[in-house]
Amino acid sequence: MTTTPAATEERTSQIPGAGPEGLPALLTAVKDAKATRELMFTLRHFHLGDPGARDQLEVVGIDCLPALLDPFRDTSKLRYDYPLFLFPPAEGDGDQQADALTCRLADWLESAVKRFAPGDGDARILRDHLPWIEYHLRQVLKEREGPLLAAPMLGAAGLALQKHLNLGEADRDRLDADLEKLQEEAGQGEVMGYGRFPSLHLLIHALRSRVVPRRVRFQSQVDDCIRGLKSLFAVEWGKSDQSIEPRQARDSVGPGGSRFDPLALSTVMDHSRGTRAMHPERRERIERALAVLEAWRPDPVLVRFVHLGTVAGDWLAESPDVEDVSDPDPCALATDLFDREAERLAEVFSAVRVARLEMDGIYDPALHDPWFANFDWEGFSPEELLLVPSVIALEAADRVAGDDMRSFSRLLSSGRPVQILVRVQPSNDPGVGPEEDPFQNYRTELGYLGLSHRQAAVSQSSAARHQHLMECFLSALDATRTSLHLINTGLRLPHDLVPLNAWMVAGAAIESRAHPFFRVDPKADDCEPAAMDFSDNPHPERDWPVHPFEYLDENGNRVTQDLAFTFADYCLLIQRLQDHFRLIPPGCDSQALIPMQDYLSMNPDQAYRRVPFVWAVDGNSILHRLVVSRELALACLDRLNYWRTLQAMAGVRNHHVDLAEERTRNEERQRATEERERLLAEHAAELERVRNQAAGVAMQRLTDVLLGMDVATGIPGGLRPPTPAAEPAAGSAPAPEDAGREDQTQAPVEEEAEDLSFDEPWIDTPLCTSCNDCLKINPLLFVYNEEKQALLGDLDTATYAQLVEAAELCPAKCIHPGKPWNPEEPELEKLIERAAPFNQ
Amino acid sequence: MFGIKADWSLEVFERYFTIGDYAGGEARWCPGCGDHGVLTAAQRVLRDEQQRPELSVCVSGIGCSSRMPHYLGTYGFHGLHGRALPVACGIKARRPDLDVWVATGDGDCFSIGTAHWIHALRYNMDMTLMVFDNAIYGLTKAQTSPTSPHGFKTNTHPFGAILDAHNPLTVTLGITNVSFVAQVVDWNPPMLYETLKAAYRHRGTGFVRIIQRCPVYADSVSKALQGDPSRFLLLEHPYGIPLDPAVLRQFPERTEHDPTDLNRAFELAADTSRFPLGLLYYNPDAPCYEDLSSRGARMTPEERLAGLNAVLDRISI
Repeated sequence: MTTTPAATEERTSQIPGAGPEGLPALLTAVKDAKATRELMFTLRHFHLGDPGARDQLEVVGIDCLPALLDPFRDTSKLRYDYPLFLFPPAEGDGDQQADALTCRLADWLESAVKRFAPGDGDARILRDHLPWIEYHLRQVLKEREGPLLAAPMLGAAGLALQKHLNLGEADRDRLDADLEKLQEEAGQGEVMGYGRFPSLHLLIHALRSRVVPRRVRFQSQVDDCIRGLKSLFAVEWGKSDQSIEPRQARDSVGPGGSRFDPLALSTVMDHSRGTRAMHPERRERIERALAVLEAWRPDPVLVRFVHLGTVAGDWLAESPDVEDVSDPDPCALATDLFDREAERLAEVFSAVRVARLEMDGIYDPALHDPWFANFDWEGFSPEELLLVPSVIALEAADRVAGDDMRSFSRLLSSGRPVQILVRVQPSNDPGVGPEEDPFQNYRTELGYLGLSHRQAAVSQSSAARHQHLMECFLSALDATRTSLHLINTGLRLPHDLVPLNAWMVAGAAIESRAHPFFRVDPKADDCEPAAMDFSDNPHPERDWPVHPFEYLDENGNRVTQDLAFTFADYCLLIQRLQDHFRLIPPGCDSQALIPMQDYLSMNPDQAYRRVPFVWAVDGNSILHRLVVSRELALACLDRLNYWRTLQAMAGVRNHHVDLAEERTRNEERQRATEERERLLAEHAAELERVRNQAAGVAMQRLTDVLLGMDVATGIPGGLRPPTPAAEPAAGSAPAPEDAGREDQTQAPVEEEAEDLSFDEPWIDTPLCTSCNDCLKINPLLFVYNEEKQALLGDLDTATYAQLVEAAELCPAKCIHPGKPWNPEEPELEKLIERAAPFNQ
Repeated sequence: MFGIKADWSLEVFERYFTIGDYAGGEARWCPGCGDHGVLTAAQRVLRDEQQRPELSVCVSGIGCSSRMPHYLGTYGFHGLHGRALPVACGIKARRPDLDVWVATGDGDCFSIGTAHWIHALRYNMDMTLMVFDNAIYGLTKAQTSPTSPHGFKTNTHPFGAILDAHNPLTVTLGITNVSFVAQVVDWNPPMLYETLKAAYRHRGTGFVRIIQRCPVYADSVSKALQGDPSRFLLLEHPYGIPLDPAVLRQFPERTEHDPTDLNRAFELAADTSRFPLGLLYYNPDAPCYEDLSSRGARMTPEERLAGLNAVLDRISI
């Protein structure tokens, strides 16, 4: 059954998605050629940057959104990826994938409920209210920064839900039980809203999941070394005189020691030919290593991050394993911090290495002493590097491209495994100050700057795509080299009219190529294009992503057209850039006005005659065209160029490949043409030859006939009269019959109802017609479920006689009494006989 | 697009209703009466659609089945004998935002209410029409009803009904502009529920004849039917009623029937040897009376004026 739109309009159903959809509409206007000419003059002047034209055109209202973003205007109803559910660091080996560490809260809720209530009808009320719980948690998390334990939050949400629903007692208890199970499922998991620093929290989460298991493993290695070194001493001690003195001898025999004469035993023991005693230098070395290992305690701080003084909040104080330092040059301080931590650990690592060498007995002072004297972080193995407490440098884009460039660049090329996190605002140019015009220069691309350091892992990602972000973090954490993360978190629009959230704005940056995703991990391959990961970009092979857009035209007809989301559309979201747009009055219709995507794909000498516009929708759902300034149009081209460079690097679309392909195709075509000509010539020659031959044969035949010979047998390869078609027809006639028979055999065989008999009583609940008959016999034995259909309740409160009576009464014949469970019951035999028809 | 998944809309229930919210007074039908099952099925449909109780109204005439408004926790109208449908049409005409359910019986609808049955179905107003057909006048203790089988003994025909039972399906299918005709039995709740849901979601009059047991006055009729699945023919089709395994188990005899095929529907309805179960006929494009009669009702004064002028222009010289 389909419901027509009109029906949904009339119905006041609360089912989600049943509401009428409002399409944006174009205003009707009278078209006037003369007015249009004048308007075009003004529009062109605005486009070219004439300040006088600015005032003659209507400015863009703050509620105007790019047409493609209009459906998501109301973010209170928008189910986006956050809050996230963060899985607790598992006991595993610390190499979980991104999807094992985080997932959308909506997905987690659904899968968690499915785990304890797999059936369709189970935990129905809870299932119906999962969106409610999600909505509630989202509201609560709006006020909080950082991850919070999920179970107490779910508990509070459950209480609020119960209060909101105010159900009857049975339903309330059912819901309570389900909510409790949901809390159990959450365990030590956490939930996290989008907040201000989502990427920092996710990086810390990724670090914890990696570092904690690594530390546990290292601790066990240290313990092994301590044990090993101690056993070396024990062996040494065994060689000493003390070890063979009578008391020791008796003790080493054990409980039966009193039966021996320890003195005699001691004298018998051979101590005149013991091995050589340990060299004092070696002993000292082992003792030193043992002391270092025994004194080693893991650092309680897992993560240290250096920032410019921009990060603050309660969450910092609540995380004892995170330490923050504020410094005007984060990269420089991060370098120092790393060196300091590495130096401290170098001692422990060298102790472990010494211990290993000693345990294997291959320590050679001549070889190893000088090596250990110069042991620092550059000598660490990858496993050891991964154990150095992580240092994060949190930088600002304009400082990295400006004052801090020197220390940033040195850190990047040094190879120290430090994570540099740079918050990027895609609408700004890091090369100029935040208050300056972002379009006056070509944009400084920090990603490109990072790539020029060649051996650093560089990723450009966004907090709005947590999966991609986590993948970038995890690969960087496993890489043991300096990593640069360029992260965009979006920004809140500074007014309340459009509650478009930061997540959405960050998503628009990815969509508009303002902040394309890429990840380069030099470890993957030394050659750059192979090391580049280009996944998660929308429509990576195109210039701009294209989506269908539906609106009502001047005559009220539905129109669908494909619309590209360009950098200009993204700029419409940024308030300080809105001066680059003006409304085009509705009646204006000219060939010169073209959509931005067409403008950008034109030749410059064609494009300069045109005026580009973008589509936008205002708060009243009215569709507008906005003229775009030339400055912004050029900025779009600049972004497009960078995007194409990235495409080429990633091997998605490469100019050289295109050229080579074209060349190969031409060569191939030419070769094919030559081949064809050669074959044609051959064919013609052969034809000529055969024709001549055939003419000879024909002449021969003619001569033979004329001489009265029998030609039918004489001609080699002569044609036989065609055999009658009856044979194959007879052969094929039975085929359909066969097919028919086959069909019959394949026809679905009616499933025979199996004759089942059960010892246990049961009710075929779906068949219950809710007539109350059985409940009147024993309301504890028969209870209704959520569908008001009978189930078996507590058998201990009932007699078999009641069950049999109910089965006889039941008009739907859905009660099956089974066998009696209490042999003491009177007249059992009669009852069993009565029950028999209902057990079949 | 923009990282938005298919489930991007976070609509939450402002109010949530359980079956209890659709329960009225305690149902006082006889024990074992088929009406209980219909009531539960209707309540489940309302619950699953989360229909607001205060925006639903159940209208009935006279008879056992017509006690339904008392037991449904919505608004109700217990009307006059045979007059459930005129009242329901009146309600729908005045308050199209309300959700109208009609509970009527074989006597109420097929006998005294015949005129309304014909015309209400022709009007095809958006409502769900449940005819509880137990083949007997139960409330007045066993008189012959139009659908009592030939030879069935009642107080009015102590030697047995002298005519063959009336076939309401062929009559209904013959009404102009009919849009939804289904038949179902009360003792298969999954199918009853699915049928009522389909009728409820259908825009137009959803006619559902429910073959229903009266364990007191027509026990022999219903017992015979209940015990003999070969008396039924289950209609299967992708556009038809979704069939649960419990339905397939109970009714082994099945046939494929496209519910848009009116001629085949007639054939199936006219075959009195077996009762077809499922959706016999369905036409989502049949116009609803309230849509046609309210055309232009939402015009602004300017639009009215423009329309008038257009008409006047046509006749002016």
